[in-house]
Amino acid sequence: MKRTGRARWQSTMLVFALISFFVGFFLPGQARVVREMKQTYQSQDPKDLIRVIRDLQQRKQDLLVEETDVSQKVAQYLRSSDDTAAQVRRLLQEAIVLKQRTGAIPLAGPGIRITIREQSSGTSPSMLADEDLLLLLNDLWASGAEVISLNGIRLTDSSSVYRAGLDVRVDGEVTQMPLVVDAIGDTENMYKGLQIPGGVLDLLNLRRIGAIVQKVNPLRISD
Amino acid sequence: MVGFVTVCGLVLGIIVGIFRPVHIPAAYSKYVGLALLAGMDSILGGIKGYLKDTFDATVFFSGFLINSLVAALLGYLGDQLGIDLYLAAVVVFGSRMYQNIAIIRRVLLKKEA
Repeated sequence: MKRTGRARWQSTMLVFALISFFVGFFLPGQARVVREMKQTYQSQDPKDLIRVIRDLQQRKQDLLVEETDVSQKVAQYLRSSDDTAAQVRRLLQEAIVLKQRTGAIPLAGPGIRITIREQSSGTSPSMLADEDLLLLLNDLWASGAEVISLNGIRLTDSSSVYRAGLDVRVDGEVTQMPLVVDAIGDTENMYKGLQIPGGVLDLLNLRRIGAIVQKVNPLRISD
Repeated sequence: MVGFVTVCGLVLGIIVGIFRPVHIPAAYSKYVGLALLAGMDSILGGIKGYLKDTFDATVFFSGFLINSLVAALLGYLGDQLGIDLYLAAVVVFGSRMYQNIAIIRRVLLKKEA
């Protein structure tokens, strides 16, 4: 009788230990995935996202209006008899810059290519988050990139880039990892900008996302 | 003793979970969360039963399995029907956890006295 009681006590403790262990085992994984989900646009307040989209649409509209204005001015100066060649060249240059920013013309020149690979195998796969992408793109713009493309899809001032599950959506187009980011502009400055300690490359390495940076000349980005 | 074993099991599980993390797809995280809530409720229910001498390992184990499964399924069903059915599981298990904690506290206080 005493032996039965002890065996029962042991099985009770074993069941408690097993179930507690099972629950505890899943807690860190669950906490991690919830933390990662909070970093994506999917979990953000739809009102904030709507505001961001509206701002971007407004910005795109402003740029298109600006481009039209400049084109009209060019046409006007070309028609008028008192224009100077310098004014026309300046305005044409301005129109080209605006066309570059809106992605209307293809470009070629020295630049850098960043190849980003996620680690999909193993017990804890690494995943590129929206924030990583935005940080990388903003760093490139800030360090002298004139034109950027993601897997061949050219970005403009009003482009939207975000993760949608395993895919990456660029202006509504779906593309997959690995991600090849091409940037034409001040190559040295962009290269140095990415290598800054604690910068985006360090952040990606820390999260075990592979990023290879190469200088390419000439780099072509289509419209 | 049962509290000690539970806490040890939980801590050991968390440590193993940190160093050998299980990958939970984001799409299923809500259901896993519900299942974990049901699991924690079952553990507290088990401790309460043990302290009140009404514990049955079979009931405990089957309760843990079924409650976790039903909680996750309820969440999934709610998503399919467009209803926040998971709230039902959250409210039920949440309130039961509070009740069980209160009962455990009272039983322990009585034993101390």
